[in-house]
Amino acid sequence: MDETAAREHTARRPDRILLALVGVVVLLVVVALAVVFTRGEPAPLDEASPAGVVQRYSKAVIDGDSTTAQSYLTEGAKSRCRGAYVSEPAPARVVLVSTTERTNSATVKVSIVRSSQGGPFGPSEYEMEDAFSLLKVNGQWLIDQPPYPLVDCTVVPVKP
Amino acid sequence: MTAPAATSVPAPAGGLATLRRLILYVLLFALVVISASGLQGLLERLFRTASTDVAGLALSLAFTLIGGPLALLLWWFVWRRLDDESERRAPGWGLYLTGMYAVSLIIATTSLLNLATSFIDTQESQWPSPLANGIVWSAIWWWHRWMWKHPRKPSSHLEDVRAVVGSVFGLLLGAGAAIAALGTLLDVAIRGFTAAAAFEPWWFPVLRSLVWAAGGAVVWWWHWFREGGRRFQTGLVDVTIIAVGIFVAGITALGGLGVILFVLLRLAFDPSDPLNDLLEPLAPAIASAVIGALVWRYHRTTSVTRSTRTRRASLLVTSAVALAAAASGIGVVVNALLAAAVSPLAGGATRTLLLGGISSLVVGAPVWWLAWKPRHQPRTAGDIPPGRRVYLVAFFGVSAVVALITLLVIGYRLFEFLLGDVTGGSLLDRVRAPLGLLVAAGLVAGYHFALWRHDRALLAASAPAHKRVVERVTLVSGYPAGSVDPEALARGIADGTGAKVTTWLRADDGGPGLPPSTEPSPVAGDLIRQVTAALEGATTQQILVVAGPGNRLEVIPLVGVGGAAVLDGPAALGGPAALGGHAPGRVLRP
Repeated sequence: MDETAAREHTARRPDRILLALVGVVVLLVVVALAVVFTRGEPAPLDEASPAGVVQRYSKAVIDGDSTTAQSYLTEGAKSRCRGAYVSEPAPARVVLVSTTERTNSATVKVSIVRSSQGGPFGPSEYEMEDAFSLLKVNGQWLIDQPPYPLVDCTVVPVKP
Repeated sequence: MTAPAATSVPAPAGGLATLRRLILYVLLFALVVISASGLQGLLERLFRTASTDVAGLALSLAFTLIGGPLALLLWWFVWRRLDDESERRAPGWGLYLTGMYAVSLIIATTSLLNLATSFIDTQESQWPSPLANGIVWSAIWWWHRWMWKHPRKPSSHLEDVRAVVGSVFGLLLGAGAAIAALGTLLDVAIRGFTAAAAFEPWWFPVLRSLVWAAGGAVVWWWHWFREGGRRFQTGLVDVTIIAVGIFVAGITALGGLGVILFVLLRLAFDPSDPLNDLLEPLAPAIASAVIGALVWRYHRTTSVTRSTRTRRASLLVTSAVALAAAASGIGVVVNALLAAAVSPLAGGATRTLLLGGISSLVVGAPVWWLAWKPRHQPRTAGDIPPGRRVYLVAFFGVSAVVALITLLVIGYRLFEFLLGDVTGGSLLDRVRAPLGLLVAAGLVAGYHFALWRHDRALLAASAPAHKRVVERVTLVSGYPAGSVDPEALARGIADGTGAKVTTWLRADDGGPGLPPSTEPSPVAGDLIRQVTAALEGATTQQILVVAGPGNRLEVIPLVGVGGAAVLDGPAALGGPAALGGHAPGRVLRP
């Protein structure tokens, strides 16, 4: 009897493990759905800080709002942005890595995530790290050198 | 060396003959390719009326006039030698024939299909080049097929490889082009005709893909049915069915289904992109799902009619593909969950990511459930099919490797965070993908490890009954050629007992050289069962099995000269261990 019971016990054990795993997966999906769908817009940073400027500029580029994006660039950056620059699809996500602030200049490192539809099992993401160079012009931080995935040159500068 | 080998002349030593064949066939291969290229150039020039390319003409002439005669001369030399049976059975000839057959088939098919589709175009057709290529390589293909099937000098070596190469090429070409044709058609139906309106009507690309698909289907049909690719009961054909028909087709179908679901979910819950962009992947995904499922279903049905091993392998591979889809879906869900926990500077796209993960999970999990049947796992050691343990160990191993790599990436990012000036949010954002994979790999590894331990416990419980005593079996087969395959018999005994089997064929009675015996030979399966049953009670490490002709079957335990018990075996088979003694062999049937 004991042996039969032990065998039945061994036979049933993977079932319990299976149930636990299915439970974990279902829980993960439910929590992810709840968190992702209740998530609001990214929290805005102070516009007077370099990171705040980078945030507003990046949001404008991702939204395709070139006029707003241009307003965060220095004159030098605007003038370098000449000619037709056929950009790839805008990045999906920009995350702050670090900020280095000096008296008149600053460097904001960001992690840029792009996503593509490819891959046999759903979308895939690529992450790269790059930096914004900012200058203080008339007491306001402006971007002098955006990283190339976030360069927006659709507005042709008006020549004086 | 110039005289061809006569039958009375002894064949050169093995190494030298192999080297001669290697050089000969490599040279022949190169010469055939060179002359084909020259002929193709000359024909193309003939079809084009005006051409002033002197250098090209000179090259074609050199290739044709020097390569051509040399190729013919060498071929004549080789062909005369192929009267000899051993020459035709040499691997070199089989490899040459297979290689050139495959190359010529692929070039001829693609050239002729290129020629056909070049007329479905609004621009002027560029037909001379594909036509010249098609003519030359079709002729070479036909020539090599003639040599393969020659009534007097047939080459059966690697015959299944030629049939398999042809059918796999045809299948991949046909299925790929069919997906393209159906995808383009559905795209026009779903999104309307948008792009390239100025150049050509919408049905031109569909028709071109359809022509390619038809060409691929014909090549596949020819090799799979006419040349009998499906009838070869070889390991290669089994592996091809599993690798192409089940694995590749399964990934295509499941991937397509996943993308369909992804697009539908995005339409419902995440319509952030313009509708046209959202719907772009839908048509190719539907086409992949339909064609992939068709190919998969055909090969699944085919594998059922083949050996049990093939059927089981096809099920395991289906289960593996589906599990990979489901597990990567779980990884992406965790990834999206962590992405939502980080507040980015700009953008988001976590919804898209989550929906991608969910669609992969929802498509993979049911297929895995159906193929793997997690609720009907083996309850006894006898239920554990062979191959299952390999599958469990393979999945456990692969997930362990994935876990190791992801741990390394996570560790790197963590130390970067600890040592440098990096925000915590960016740390989480950069480890979320490896962390998702780690969770998925952990779940997969945990489940398969539990199953593996469970199986091991079952096997250990039943081990005493299966304790192996017999180490080595010497099988002496006396069945006439064509009745019982001694190789299959040896494999069956080895599988049944776990012993190492050495096979010998009898040369004195009923051997392959003698006329078949009038007694019907037993079926290999029965024989294997009888031998295995007889060996179960064996107490010695060495066993001699004399099987055939007819119903004769003797199982004789052996011990070394110094041992206590010795046997009373036939004097003709006396080896060092078969001298005198009194333990009689067990005669199962007179």
